[in-house]
Amino acid sequence: MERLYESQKIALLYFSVAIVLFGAQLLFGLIAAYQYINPDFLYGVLPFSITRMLHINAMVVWLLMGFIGGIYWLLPSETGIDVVGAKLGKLAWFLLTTAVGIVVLVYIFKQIGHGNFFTIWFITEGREYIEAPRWADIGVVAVMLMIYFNVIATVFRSGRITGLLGVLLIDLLALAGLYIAGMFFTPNITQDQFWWWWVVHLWVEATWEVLVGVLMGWALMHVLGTPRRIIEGWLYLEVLLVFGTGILGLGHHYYWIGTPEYWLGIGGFFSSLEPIPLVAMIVHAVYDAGVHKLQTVNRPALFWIFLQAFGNFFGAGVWGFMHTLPQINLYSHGTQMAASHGHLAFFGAYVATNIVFVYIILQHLRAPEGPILDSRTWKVAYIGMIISMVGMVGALLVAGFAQTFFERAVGGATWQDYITAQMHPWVSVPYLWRFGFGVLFLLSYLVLLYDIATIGKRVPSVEVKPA
Amino acid sequence: MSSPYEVVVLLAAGFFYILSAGGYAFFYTYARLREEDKFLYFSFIFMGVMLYCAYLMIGSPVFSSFWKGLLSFATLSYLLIPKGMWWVVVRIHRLEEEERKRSRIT
Repeated sequence: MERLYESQKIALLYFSVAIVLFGAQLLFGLIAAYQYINPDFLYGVLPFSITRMLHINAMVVWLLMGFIGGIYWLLPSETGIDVVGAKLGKLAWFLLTTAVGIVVLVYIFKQIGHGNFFTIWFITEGREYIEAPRWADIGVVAVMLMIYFNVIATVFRSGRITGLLGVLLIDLLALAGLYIAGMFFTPNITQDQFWWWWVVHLWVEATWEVLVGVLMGWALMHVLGTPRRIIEGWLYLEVLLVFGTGILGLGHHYYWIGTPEYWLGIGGFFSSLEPIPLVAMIVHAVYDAGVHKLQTVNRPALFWIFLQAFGNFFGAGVWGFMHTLPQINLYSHGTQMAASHGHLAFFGAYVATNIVFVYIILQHLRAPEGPILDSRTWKVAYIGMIISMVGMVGALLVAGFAQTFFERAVGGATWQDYITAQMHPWVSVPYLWRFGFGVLFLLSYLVLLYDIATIGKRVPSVEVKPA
Repeated sequence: MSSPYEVVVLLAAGFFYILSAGGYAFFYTYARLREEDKFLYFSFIFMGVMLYCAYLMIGSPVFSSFWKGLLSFATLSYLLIPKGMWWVVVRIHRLEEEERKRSRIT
C-alpha cells in the first residue's frame, strides 16, 4: 500500500461509514417497499413512517459522507500538501458518525409522541428528509464548518489555489450556510415549508450539483487524463448554468404550499431551463470520451463516470422536466412519479459519483503503478444496479402515471380517489415490481461490497488498453 | 381545467421532449466526432420527436401565451445546444492543445 496523506486517511474513514450507511439505506428502503405491499408488516415495531425516514436519511448522510471523503481525498493532490488540521478532521468525522448513530437509535426507539420544544431539540424536528433534532442540525453545521476550515486553511498554507479549489470553497460555504435555513421553527406551515425547501432543493439542485461537478472534474483528470484547463473551463460554465437555473428553479416546490402565485411563473420558467446544462453535458461527455478513446487505468471508475453523466441527464433532466410545469404538476405532485424521479436522479448524479471515488481510492491503494484496475464482479454489480434501478424507476413511473390519471385527473384528489388509485392494478402491481427490483439492487450492492474487498488484489498485469 | 387525457398526453410529451433533446445532442456530437453523416441523419429523428413533443405542448390550450413562449424558447435552446456546445468544447480543446505545444517549445 502506498503511503497515505493524513487527509486521505480521513477520506477512508468517511467512505467506510458511507458504504455501511448505503447498505442501511437499501435495507430500510426494502422494508418500506414491502410495507407498500403489506402495510401490516412490522406495524407497531418498525412502521412505514420510520422505515421511510431511515431510508431517506441514510441516503442523505451516506452521500454527504462520501462527498466529504472525496474532498479530503483530492485535497493533497490539489494543494500539494497534507491537510492542515488532521486531528480536527478526525474529530469532525467522529462527531458526525456518533451523532448519526444516536439520531438513528432515537428514531427507532422513540417513534411516536406529542411534539413540543423538547422533541424539536432532542427527538425529531419532524421536517421530512431533515428530521434530525436541532442539536444534530447544529452539529451538522459545526462539522461542515470544521471541514471548511480544514480546506481553506490547507489552501492558504499551500499558497496555491486551483479553479477546482476556488469553486469548492465557495460551494462549501453555501452548503453549510443553507443548512441553517432548515432550523427555523414557525407554526405557519407555509413559512416553514418555504425555508425547508431552501435546504432540500438548494442542497440537492444547486450546492450538491456543483460539489459533484468539482469531484467529477478531479476524477476525470485522474481517470481519463483530461487536461485541467478543459475541466476548469467546463466547471465554470457548469456552475453558471446550474446556479443560473437551479437557484430559482426552487420555485417548482412553491407551487402548492401557499406562497404567492408569481412562484408558478418563476418556478416554471427556471425549472424548464434546468435540463439545459444536463443536455450540454452530454455533448461534452461524448466529445471527451471520443477524443481520449477511453484510455484508462481504472475501468470501473470510468464506467461509473459514464453512468454519472447519463444518469444525471435521465434522472434529473428527463424525469424532472416531465412534471415540472405547474399545469402538469397540479395533477402529478406527490405521486409515485416524484419517487421515480428522486430514485433515478440521486442514483445517477450522486451515488455514481461516490462509487467513482471508491474505485479511484482502491486503485491508489492496490494498483498505484498499474496494472489496470479491473475485475468481473464490478461489471456484475454495475449491470445489476442499473437493471434494478431502471426496474424500480420504471415501476414507480407506471404507478405515478396511473395515480395522476385515476386519482387526480379522473377523480379529484379526494381521500376516496386516493384509495381507489392505490387498489388499481396499475398502481398495486408496480409496487410488487419495485420490491422485486429492490431485492435485486440489494444483491448487486452485496456484489459491489465483494468487489470492493477483492478488486486489485489478484489482477493480471496487462497493458493499458481501450475500455 | 385539463381533461384526464390531456394531462397524460402532456406528461408523456414532457418526458419524450427532454429524452429526444438528449438523443439529438448525443447523436449530433457522435456524428461530428466520427464524421459520419448517417449518425447525423439519425440525430434528426430525435430532433423530429422533440419538435413533435414541443408542438403537442405548445399547441395545448392548457398553456397561456407566456408558457407557449417559454416552451418555444426552450425548444430553440435544445435545437442550438448541440451546435453551440460543439463549438465551445472544440474551442476549449484547441486552446489547450495550442498551450501544450507552446509550453513544449519554450
